[in-house]
Amino acid sequence: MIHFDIVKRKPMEPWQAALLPVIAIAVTLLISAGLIGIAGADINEAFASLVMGAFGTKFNFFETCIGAVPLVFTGLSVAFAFRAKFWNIGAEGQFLAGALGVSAVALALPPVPSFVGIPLLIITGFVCGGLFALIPALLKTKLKVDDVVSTLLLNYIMYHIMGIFLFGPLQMPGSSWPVTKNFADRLVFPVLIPRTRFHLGVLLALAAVAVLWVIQKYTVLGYETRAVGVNERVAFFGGVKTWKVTIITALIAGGLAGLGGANEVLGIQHRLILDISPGYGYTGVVVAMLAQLNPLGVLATSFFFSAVGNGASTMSRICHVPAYISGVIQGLSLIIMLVCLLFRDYSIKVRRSL
Amino acid sequence: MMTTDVKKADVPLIQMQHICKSFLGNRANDDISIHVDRGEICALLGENGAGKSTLMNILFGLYGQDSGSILIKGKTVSFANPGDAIKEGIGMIHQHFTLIPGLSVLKNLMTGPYGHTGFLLNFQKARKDVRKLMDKYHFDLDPDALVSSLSIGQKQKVEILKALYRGAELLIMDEPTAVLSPAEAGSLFSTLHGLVNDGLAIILISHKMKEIIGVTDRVYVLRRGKLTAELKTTETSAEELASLMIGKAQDDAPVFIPAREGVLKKDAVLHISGLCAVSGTGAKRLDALSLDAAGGEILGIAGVSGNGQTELCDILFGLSVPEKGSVVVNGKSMTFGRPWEVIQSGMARIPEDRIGTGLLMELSVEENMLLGRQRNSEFCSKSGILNRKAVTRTADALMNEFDVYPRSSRGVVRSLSGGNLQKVILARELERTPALVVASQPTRGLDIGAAAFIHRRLTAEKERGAAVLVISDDLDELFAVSDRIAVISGGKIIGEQSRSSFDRNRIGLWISGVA
Repeated sequence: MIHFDIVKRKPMEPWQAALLPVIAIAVTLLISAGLIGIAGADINEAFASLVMGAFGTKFNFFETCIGAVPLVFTGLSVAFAFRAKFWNIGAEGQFLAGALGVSAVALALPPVPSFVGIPLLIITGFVCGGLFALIPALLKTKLKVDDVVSTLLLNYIMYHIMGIFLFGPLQMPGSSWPVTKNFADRLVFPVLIPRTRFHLGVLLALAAVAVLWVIQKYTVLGYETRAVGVNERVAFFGGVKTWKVTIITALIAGGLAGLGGANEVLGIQHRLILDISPGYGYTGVVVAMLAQLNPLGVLATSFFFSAVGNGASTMSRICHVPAYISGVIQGLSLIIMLVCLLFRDYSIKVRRSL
Repeated sequence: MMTTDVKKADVPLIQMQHICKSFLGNRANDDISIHVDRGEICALLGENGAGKSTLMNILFGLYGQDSGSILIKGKTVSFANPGDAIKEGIGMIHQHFTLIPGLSVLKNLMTGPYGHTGFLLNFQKARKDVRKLMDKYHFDLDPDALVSSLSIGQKQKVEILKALYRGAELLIMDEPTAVLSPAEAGSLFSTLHGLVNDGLAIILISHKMKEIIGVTDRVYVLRRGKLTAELKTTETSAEELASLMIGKAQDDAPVFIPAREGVLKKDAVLHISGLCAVSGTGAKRLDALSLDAAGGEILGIAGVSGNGQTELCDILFGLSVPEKGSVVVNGKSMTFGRPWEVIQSGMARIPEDRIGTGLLMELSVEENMLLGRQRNSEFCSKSGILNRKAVTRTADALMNEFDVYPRSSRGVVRSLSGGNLQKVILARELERTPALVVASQPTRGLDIGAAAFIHRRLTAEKERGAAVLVISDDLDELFAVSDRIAVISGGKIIGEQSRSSFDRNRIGLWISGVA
């Protein structure tokens, strides 16, 4: 008989750990190549068209950047929350809360100049997302309600609240579709590079990554969230007001997801539609896990996911491989990453016996 | 299954011969031989760490022995796991029950490979068998009651019933009365007598003298991994057993630095009065405990663990809130359940559970040394920015002073050895020049060098004028460092002696619950 024993290994060097996502992505692409082959396409051509679609032209490259932005926000939201063991599966709902709040304010706002209106709307997005995340945080700290369940279920509630508004007070006059009318031009994000859709939101996302990185590394709040995440009892013993940390974490995490919603309505759609999110909040969970909860990792992973998504649609047009392949690649990359993380802490010993 | 043709009356039911077992070079059991006959209750007596649990875990198949043999009815057996031991008729009742609260008594008995016919549960047969057992031994239980609805005493009876249902001929009871009220304990012992009268054998792990004198037939005394005495209960006394259990101050005991009488300040730095606490199950854990400690003394709290020490520490550290009572530190009355106030009060806290309470295992040494002071102006600006340079500088200095090895302040704490983990905690807590040090089991599991270092530091704190409270179940340690020893038993202080009048036997009796 051959036995496989999973044994704890000594901690990896940091550079070895940093290599893990690279290995995971390489293995993912290898398996995807096989699937593309099964789909009957020429693998070289398929990958060439995938790369072409993602980065091949200036326009495509900027589209990939833009596509990464909502994932950066939801990914940061989840990563920051998970660090403090606040299991925020609710980035989707907070994203929608941000989008809805921003849209309501944008439509109701008296004519103000851009330099007043746009910052105000950005803050609105952050506040709406944050307040919506406050609900599960309070339920967790005051009533010990499981945060996985409450954050997840609140997503559906927010989706339907949005429906009430889109079929009600915010609906475009004369329309039977769940859409608002377009926002005033001075309230939407300016396009920064002509003849592309590269808008202010991309810079906002980069700023969010930087701010979060600084918070985690250089502030007491970052230290305390990490302490709570490592061991809540020890943190409490060390004088950390753990419930306070959970609530502030939730506000920031929800706010980040809310910014994602603001970005989507102000940067891309310029109005609110019911299908504003194709599941950015849930993909954010995958992004955060793949990034090992590191803000810079979130940036890289979001870019990868966006590239795969945009590239796959080009690939499907040229090589007739179904665009669903992008979903498969994203899913595979997470599973393979999780396996790689297992090898970070454990190794498998093969043992023979009679 | 073993054959029963060697069943002779003169062969003991269970024999353990020359059992040796080491953990990482530590002799937990050193050439121990015991035997138990049908119809008798044997006590296994010893302090914490004497080797009782190790020996019984070997008999129950949880550990394999390094050498020595186990014989059942004269036939050598070897157990790979508890399942094997259960098949051979050995049942063990742990302190912490292994019942499933959401299932009925009957279904709990049927867990594991019992009460089945093939893949199917045979409720009818199981019910009949259980009923028969309950009638035979006068168990008053409802087989259909949910285990979660039972009292602690009843749950313990279910555990016993489970062992009997699985065919146990020998019952090992690990501190069975630790969780029981006196009335429940009385009921338990009458049940146990019924069982031995019917031909079962029982091994009782205990350190409560009254119980041992009251219910057992023979006593084995273990000390530091060795069997030191085997006595007939009728031919011994509580005093003799206590002194055998505690032993004389031994030559092979770790060498401690001699304690000097400190400069005793008059006022109590720590003033505890009337602390009452109950456990989650409603059992009384602290019973109006009162205690004073003055600056310039080391006050040792002796006692067998599980007598309220953990609850006392949790309350002092701000981790839990008592039912009643007050704690005054440095003249300031403490609000319970607020560790940050405790830190402000100038109390250094060395918790018993270093990993689960004291340290952030996944973070670095410097981040652990920061814990508790992260919002002090020394390390943190008004806007909440950490002064990482100051954090590293302080950690480096502390690592030198407390000789933490390896000297890497960015290294993850998880990779440090036990002694160095404790030094990290000690460094962090003592750096604040505390007025009061509360150290719980400060040297448990540490090697002699690290233990001596800890004792030196605690003594230095005393000489500086701090009040030092050392809670330990290692009496030798307390005798070595304390200026005064108070004994905790059943959640209150039942006796106290100062250094000039230390009396080992007296303290041994107090520890065993004899006031």
